[in-house]
Amino acid sequence: MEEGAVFSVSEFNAQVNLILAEHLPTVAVEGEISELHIAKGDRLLYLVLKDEKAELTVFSFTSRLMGWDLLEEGMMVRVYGRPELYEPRGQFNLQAERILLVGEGTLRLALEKLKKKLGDEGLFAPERKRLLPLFPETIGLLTAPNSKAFSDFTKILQDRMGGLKIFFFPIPVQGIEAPKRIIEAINWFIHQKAEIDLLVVTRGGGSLEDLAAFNTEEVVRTIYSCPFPVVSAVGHEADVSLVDLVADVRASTPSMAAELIVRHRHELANQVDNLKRRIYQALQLQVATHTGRIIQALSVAEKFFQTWWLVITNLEGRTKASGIKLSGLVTDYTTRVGTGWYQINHQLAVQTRWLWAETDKLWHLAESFNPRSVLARGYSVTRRHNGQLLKSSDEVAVGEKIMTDLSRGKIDSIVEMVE
Amino acid sequence: MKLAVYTMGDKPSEFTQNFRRLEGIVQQLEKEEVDLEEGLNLYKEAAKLVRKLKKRLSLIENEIEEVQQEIEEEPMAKSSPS
Repeated sequence: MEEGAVFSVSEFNAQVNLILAEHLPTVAVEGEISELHIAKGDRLLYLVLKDEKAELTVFSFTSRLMGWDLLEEGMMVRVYGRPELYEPRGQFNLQAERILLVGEGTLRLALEKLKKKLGDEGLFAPERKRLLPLFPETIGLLTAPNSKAFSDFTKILQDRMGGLKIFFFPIPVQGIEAPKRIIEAINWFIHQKAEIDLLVVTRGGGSLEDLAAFNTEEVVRTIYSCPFPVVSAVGHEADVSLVDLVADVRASTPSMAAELIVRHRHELANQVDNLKRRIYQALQLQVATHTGRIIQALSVAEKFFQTWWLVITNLEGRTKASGIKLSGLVTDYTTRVGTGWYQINHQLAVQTRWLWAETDKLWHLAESFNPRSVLARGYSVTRRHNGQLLKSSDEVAVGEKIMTDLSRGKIDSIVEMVE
Repeated sequence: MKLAVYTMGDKPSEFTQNFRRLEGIVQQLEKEEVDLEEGLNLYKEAAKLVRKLKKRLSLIENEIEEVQQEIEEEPMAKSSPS
């Protein structure tokens, strides 16, 4: 054996750490959790990682490990950290910086735990889900660049509506960096670097491990904090990620997401046409109703006049018999009252007074249908240049001169269009 | 499927505002009696709205802007296991 340098214990331990720091600064070690301890009031985490042949102690602070509460004995994990010798005791361990869950079984287990935890907090509650806007103009898009999700979404969107502004923030949709980048991207939109009406988060299908970033607590919470509605389309129809649960609306595919957020331009155009048609019809109906009423009132007035005339002629017959002329009656009435005619012809006078009151009423009624009063309410009378009253638009031709009587004044015009 | 007016207190898009106003005019004319002048004014307003709405619907292209991420990155306080 060679004579080399002789170390003291502390020197040796320190030297080992130097060598470790130089040759193995960070490593990733995968294994099964055989023991798990949380100490010092939930601040210190210590676990034993093992495979079939060996064991390794792992230390960390819970403050550095998001989701440490999901870890369980028996889970397969990948620990990213620094190997270290605890110098005072010469004990070798791994200082964990990140712990990744590995394997379908582990992932599913952790997912169920997290789903329950967040569900109990109310993050998935249907009451808090926002409604999508009828017509979004600015849309945020979070997906992988050059992906099928991107092209499917943008193509269907383009088919349905133009004039939209899309802010596309490319993100990695899987891998160790994904959660951090996704959170950065969402925060960019939240802090109004762009004013969006809604955000779309989408990626294609994959294994549970591929979709892991979208089942991360921090990502889910960040989406929950969005002030705008979030539409998610993560994975296939069957995969429901936690992001899908916390989002305001879930779509089964990126194409479906596009269909949910904008209506088709043709559908909206039809609706507008419908409304236009209804307005026209409603107005026509209103005018017809007004006109109908006027015609009705005129015929009532006509009847009144007829009745009145009958009464007059009757009365005239009777007064002739008693020697009194009706023609003079109304005008002489006020003079005769004074000379005692009133007493003698009391009955007649009463009848005449009734007649006078009725005449008054009829006069007012007739006045309201007087063309002058009708005009005062906004209607007008239009004639051809020869004075002929116009009642239908096919009584004139384009280019003809027409005259319109208003309540006040007249207008001379030339016909531009006939409908 | 949820599709309705944005209810978060933010300003809805111009299209939405115009569309809703048009619906309002229809309801008014179908339910209430209006005098001729009011009726004509509403009709004129409706015609303007229809023009604006159709114009917006006739836009063809969507604009996609890719976000250039800022160089200054916020320090990451926590690591996240996934």
